[in-house]
Amino acid sequence: MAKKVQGNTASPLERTSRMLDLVPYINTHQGISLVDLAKVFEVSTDQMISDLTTLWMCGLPGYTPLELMDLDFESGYVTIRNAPTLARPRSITHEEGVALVLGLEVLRSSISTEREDLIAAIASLSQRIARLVNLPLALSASSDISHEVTTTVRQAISHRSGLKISYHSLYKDEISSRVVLPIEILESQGTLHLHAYCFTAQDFRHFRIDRIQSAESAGVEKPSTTPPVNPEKIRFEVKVVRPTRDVVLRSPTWKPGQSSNHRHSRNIGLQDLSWRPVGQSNYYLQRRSEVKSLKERKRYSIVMRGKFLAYPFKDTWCNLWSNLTLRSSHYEFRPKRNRHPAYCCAGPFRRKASS
Amino acid sequence: MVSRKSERLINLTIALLATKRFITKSEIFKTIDGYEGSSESKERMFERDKDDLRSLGIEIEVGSFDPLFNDEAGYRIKQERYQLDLGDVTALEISLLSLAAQAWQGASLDDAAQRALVKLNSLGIAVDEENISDSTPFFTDGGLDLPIITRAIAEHQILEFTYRNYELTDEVRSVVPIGLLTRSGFWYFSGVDQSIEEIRTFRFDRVIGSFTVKKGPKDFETPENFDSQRLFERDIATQAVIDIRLGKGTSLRALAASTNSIGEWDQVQIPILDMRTLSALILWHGDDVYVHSPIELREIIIAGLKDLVKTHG
Repeated sequence: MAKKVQGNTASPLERTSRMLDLVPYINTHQGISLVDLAKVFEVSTDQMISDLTTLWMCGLPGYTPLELMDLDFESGYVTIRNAPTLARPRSITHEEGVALVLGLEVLRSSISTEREDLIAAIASLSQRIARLVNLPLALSASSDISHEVTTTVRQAISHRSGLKISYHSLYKDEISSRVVLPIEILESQGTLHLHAYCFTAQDFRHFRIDRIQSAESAGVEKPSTTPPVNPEKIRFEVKVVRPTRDVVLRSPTWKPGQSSNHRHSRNIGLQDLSWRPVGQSNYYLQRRSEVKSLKERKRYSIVMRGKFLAYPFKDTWCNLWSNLTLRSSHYEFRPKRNRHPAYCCAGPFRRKASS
Repeated sequence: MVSRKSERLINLTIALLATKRFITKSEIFKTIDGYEGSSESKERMFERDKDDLRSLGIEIEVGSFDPLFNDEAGYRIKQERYQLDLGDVTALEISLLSLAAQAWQGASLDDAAQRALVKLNSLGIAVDEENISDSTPFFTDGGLDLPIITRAIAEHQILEFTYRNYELTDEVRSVVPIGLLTRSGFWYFSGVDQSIEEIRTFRFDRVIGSFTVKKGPKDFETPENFDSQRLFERDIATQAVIDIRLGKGTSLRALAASTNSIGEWDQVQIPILDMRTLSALILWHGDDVYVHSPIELREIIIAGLKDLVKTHG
């Protein structure tokens, strides 16, 4: 139910609901660009224009220019006037109330007890929302992860700095100290994992965040973002999972109408891999840690299947990793040779985290 | 076609919101754009529209001008019920609510949380991010239908479901839920089991299949002194006393309520949530752990070890 069906955005009820929420939003965000507005409401710009066009025809009975809402969006920026009846936001639904109250609960458990001001504000908000949607205050949630650890890890990801962690391995029942370069935080089967390059193991590892006993920043050798000199070293067998236009264009043996699990064997040079400029790949890595746009983050959380070869760590593993991750919804990567453990990124993060 | 329907619903909402008095069906058909066709088809259209608006959470009041006369029914939407009213909301509160909504990222109520966030942002209050740490807590769930529980809590409905109990047998339970909580990545709900009239707690992922919602008992009252926060504390009246070898058993130590050093071993007390889970964890640690009490836990472990010998020995 977390997944939105694409066609849903155009169902009459969904549209009505969205248009009712559009009026108060534009009212307090006068002059917002069409593109931004479409992003906020998670629809295409075309759909947004269609919504606004319909709204433009609505108003009080009589439907003369005096009674209609005054919407202007031809310039690409949206303003609204003469919409007093719908100007205030709609009340929240039961489901939305549940989401907020439980969200506040889990937030409270992650805030240090010294911040009494925040705790009090959260309690007051919970009560007000619960009353609004007739929700019994019998909901309780708590985060079982040390917020000191998560804060340190997130900061390290956004600054691309190293971490010294002490990690409890359940299998060995030992606490080890490791220096890692964190890449991203992933969720798998109800637990959060840190995907990182471990300098102790000299390979990529997944660490369960709730088993990280402590974390502090540590100096590490930063990955370089300049392209490696010899790009011919990688050879992949590429399985086209979801053919899109750019996949088809780059795959000479592809013919329209071919079964979707057709396999292609070809060399991929660095030029092929660098579809996005380096700057943007870096941006991708930062983006995940900043968690600015929720939907975007979801889109990037693509699970890697299979394994792929990467350049030696000193080179552009970081660049490569993000490139491959971005396109792994189209491709399945299989290494053909050069299977050297130090250069091999473990693919599926859903694999059980091992030490 | 699609856009006409939305247009009519918006116009109907505006008209019903703007009016102070009740407006009648015939007035609606006469003045609001979009009602066309025979009077019968207009009626059908209007009935559907009313249902649609209600399903969007918009309350339509039905009343008449004069209660003494059996007038035609009139309709209106009360502004106070339609609008979001959280009282005075501060910038700090808006930021807290944004973080609360973000916690659902990728979890079951993500879309609802986003919709709520858009409404809150429409209040036009600036966000105060300075004051809050940048760590966002996360929910983790496997797309559970949480609103079905909360709605049942609010309306005292009975939920029927198949539950896999400790002995791994499936049984049908009939429960009026009273609380919902999450701990350590698991979701639980507690409620009054209708067959034994007692409060029981259920783990969501042990529910097999889906819930059947039924009308609850009329005279249902939420048991007094029920506090979901305390739910586990009350259950854990019994504590296990065990010895753990120094430097070992980190995951057991994490559960400990108290720890005393006794030379080469540490004696710890662990609150018991689930005897089987705890015994499995203890067995995992082999001879690094010695169990003193309770006697039931010792028996489970001894039985487990004997089984092991029988199977593999």
